[in-house]
Amino acid sequence: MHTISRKGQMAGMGLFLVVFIILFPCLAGAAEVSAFVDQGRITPDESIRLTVTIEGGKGEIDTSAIKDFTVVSRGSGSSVRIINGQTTRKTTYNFILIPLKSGTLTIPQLSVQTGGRTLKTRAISILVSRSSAIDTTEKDLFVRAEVSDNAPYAGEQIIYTFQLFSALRIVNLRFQKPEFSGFTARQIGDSRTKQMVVNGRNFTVTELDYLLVSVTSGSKTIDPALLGCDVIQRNKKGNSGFDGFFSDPFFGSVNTKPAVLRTESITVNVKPLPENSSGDAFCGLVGRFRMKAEINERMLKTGDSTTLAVTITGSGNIMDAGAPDIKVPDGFKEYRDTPEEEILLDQSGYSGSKTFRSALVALTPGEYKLGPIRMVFFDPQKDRYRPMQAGPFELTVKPSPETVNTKAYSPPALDMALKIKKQKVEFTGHDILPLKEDLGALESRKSLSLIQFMCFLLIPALFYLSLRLMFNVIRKDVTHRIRMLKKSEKALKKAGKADVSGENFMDFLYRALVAAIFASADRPGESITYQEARNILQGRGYPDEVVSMAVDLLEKIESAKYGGVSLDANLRNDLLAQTGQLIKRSLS
Amino acid sequence: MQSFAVIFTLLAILLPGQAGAEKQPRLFLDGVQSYHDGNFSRAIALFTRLTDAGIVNGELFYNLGNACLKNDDLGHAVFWYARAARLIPGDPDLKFNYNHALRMVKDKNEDKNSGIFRILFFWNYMLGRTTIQWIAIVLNLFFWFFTGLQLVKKSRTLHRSTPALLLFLLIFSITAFYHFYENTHGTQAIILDREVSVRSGFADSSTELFVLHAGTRVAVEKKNKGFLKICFSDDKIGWIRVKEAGLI
Repeated sequence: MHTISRKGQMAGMGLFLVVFIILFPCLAGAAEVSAFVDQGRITPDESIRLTVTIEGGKGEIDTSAIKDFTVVSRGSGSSVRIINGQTTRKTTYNFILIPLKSGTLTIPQLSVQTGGRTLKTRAISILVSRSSAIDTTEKDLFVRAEVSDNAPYAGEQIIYTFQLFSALRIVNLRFQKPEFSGFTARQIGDSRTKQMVVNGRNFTVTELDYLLVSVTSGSKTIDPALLGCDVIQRNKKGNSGFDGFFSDPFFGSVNTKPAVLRTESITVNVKPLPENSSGDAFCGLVGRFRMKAEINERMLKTGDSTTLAVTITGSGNIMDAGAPDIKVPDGFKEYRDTPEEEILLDQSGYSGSKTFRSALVALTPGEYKLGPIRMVFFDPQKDRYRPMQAGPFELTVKPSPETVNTKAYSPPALDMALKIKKQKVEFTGHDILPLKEDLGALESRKSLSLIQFMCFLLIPALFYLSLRLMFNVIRKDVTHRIRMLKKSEKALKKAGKADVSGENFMDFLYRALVAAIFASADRPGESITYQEARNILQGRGYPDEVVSMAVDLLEKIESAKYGGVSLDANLRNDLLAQTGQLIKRSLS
Repeated sequence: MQSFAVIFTLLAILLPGQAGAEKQPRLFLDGVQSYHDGNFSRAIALFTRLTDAGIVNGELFYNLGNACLKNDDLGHAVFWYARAARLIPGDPDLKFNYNHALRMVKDKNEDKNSGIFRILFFWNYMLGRTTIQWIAIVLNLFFWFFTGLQLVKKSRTLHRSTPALLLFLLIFSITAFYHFYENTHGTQAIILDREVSVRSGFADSSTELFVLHAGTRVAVEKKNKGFLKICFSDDKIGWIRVKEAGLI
C-alpha cells in the first residue's frame, strides 16, 4: 500500500489551479452560443464539419443564411456538467458543409433561437482551393456519375450511373440521389459491386443505375449526387498483431472519420423529335420496335368471333404504346380487350412487348379485307421515323344456319373472354322518370270501405255458422233415432244366438225393445216404465194395437226377467219372434 | 206517356255523369301534353280536376307528383308521391321519383324507429292498401272453407294449413283495419309550403318553436280550430295551420 506524498498533493493542487485558471475565464466570459469547424482549408471535393454548441439548453439554428455550401444535418447531442453544485447543460449540433464553389467562402453569422432569445454565432471563413486538391488517381475514395447519352431525343431513355470507387474500408453509407429535374427517373435494380483496377490500383466499385426519360426538349442539369460515409481510420501507432482484428467495426470501438463525396453535375441536352414526314401518324414510341399481328380464324359464320392480336415488341417506352388504329370492316363488330404487357427494366432500359387483342364478331356474310395495320415510331439510333406494319388479312364470312341477331346480342362468354372490368354505375345526371300516359290512370281504384271489407270478412264466417247449425240439427235428428235402432238390432241379434243363457236372453230382449221405443221417440234411454212406453208410442202416433202389443211384450219380458219364470225353448222362441216382429214391422 | 217520362228522367240523371266521364280522358291527355310542353302549372290544374272528380289512382297521383316537382313545388310533389305510394308501392318509376324528391327535402328525418318499422311490418310498405284488403279477404275465405270442410268430414283435427291461414289472416286483417283507422284519422301529413313555422299553440301569435320545410312528413295528433297538432319527432311537437300540410 502506498501513500500519496506531500509533493504529489502539491502537484495535484497546482494542476487543478492551472486548469481552473485556464477554464475560468472561458466559463465566465464564454458566449452561450458558439460555432466552429474542423478545418479551414479544403478542396472543392471535400467537406467540413460545422459544430454549433448552445450552453444552457436547446435551440433552433437557422442555417438558411449559408449560401456558399450545401448543408447536411448530422444530428445533435447533449451533455450535462455539474461544477460546484451548479448544473450546466450543453447541446451540440453537427452539420456537414459541402462547398458549392472555390475561393474564400464564408459561413455567416447563424441565428440561434434559445430560451426566447435570438443569439448569433460568429462568422467563419473557409478557403476552398483546387490547388491543394489531390489528383483522383491518388485518391483512395472518390465517386463518379455519368449518363449513357448526353444528347438524347425527347422520349428516349438514357441510363444514369453512379459509381463509388473505394480503396478504403467505409461504413454507414448514405446516398442522396440527385433530383433529376426535367426527367422521369426510376432506379434499375439494386446496387452492384465489382473490383476494378484504376491506374494500377485496385478499387472496389459500387454502381447504381437510374433510367431517365425526358419528354421535353432543352438543356437539363442533373445535380451532383451526394454520398456520406464513415471511413475507418488506420491505426498508425499500433503494431500489435491483434490491432487488425480488433479494429474490425464488428467490435465497435474503432476510429472513423466522416466523409461526404460528391459527383460532378451533368448537363444533358435533350433534342426535340424531328418532324414526322412518313405520312402515317406517330404513335409516341421512341426506341426500336417491331410489330406482328395474328388472327386465329379467317373462315367464319355470322355470329362467330375471331381474335386479332397485335403485338409490339422492342426496347424503349413500350408502355406508352397506344392501341393500333384497326380499320374494322363494316360486316364486323369489334370488342377491344385490355392490353397485356410484359415489360422488363434492366441496365439497357425498358424492353418487352405489349399485345392488343380485339374480338371481331362477324355480322354479315361476305369477303372482307382487314388492314394493313400500320404504326410509326422514332428510332433515335437512326435519327428518323420508321414505320412498322402487319397484315392485311383476308376474312370470309358465311351465313350461319341459325338466324341470330348478332347486332342486338352479345354473348356473355365474349364478355368473359374480353375480361371486361365491371364498374359501379354512377349517376351522371339527375331527373325524374316520365309521366304515365296510359288512360288506365283514370280508373278509380278506391280501396274497399270499412263496411264492404267487414262484409267480405263476415260472410264466409256466417256461412260457416249456418252450416254448422244445419249440421247440428241434422245430426240431432239422425243420431238418436239411428243410434237407438242400431242398439236395438244389436241386442236382438245377441238374444237370437243359441248359446245365450236364459238370464242374458231376457236382458237382451229387454234392451232391444226399450231401444226401439226410444228410437221411435228420437231420444236416448236405457230403461222405461210401461206408462212411459205407452205415452211415447201414443205420442208418436202409433196405433193402439201396436202400443198395447209393445207394452204387453215389455211386461212379459220384465216378468220373465225378474219373476224367475222357467224359460223353455218354446217360450224363448215365441218371445224372440214377437219382439223381432214388433221392432221390424212396427217400431223401426 | 209514362214510359217517355221515365226515359226522360233517366236521361236527365245519367247524361251529366256521362258528359263528365267523357271529358276525363281529354283532361288527362291535355294534362300530359301540357307537361310535355313545359306548362307544368296547367298540367297540375288539369290533373287536379281529375282527382277532384273522385278518381283515386296511383298513376294519376304519380303524374301529379311529377308535375309538381317540375313546377318547383316540392311539398305537393312529395304529398302526391306519398299518396301514390299507398296505392302502388311497388311501382319502380314511383320509387325512383319519390326517392329523388325525398333527397331534395331539407329536414332530416329524426324518427329513429321508421327503419325498424319498415323491417318489422315490411308487407305494409311493399303492398298497396287494396292488395292487403283483398289478401285478407281471400285468406278469410280459405280459412272458413277449410274449417267448414273439417265440419263436413267430421274430423276433430284441424287441416294442417288452417293455423297458418289464421295467423296470416289476422296479420293482414289487422293491417287493413289499421289503414282504415289511418284514413279516418289522417295520422300522416306532408308539409306543403316551402317553410312552415311550428308554433306552441293554435294562433299565429304563439311562439315559433321550430321550422319545417316542404316535403317533410309529420304525424298528425289532433285537429283544432283550423290548426293541426303535429309531431315531427319525440321532442318536436307543435301546431301548424291545416292548409300548410296535406293529409295523406
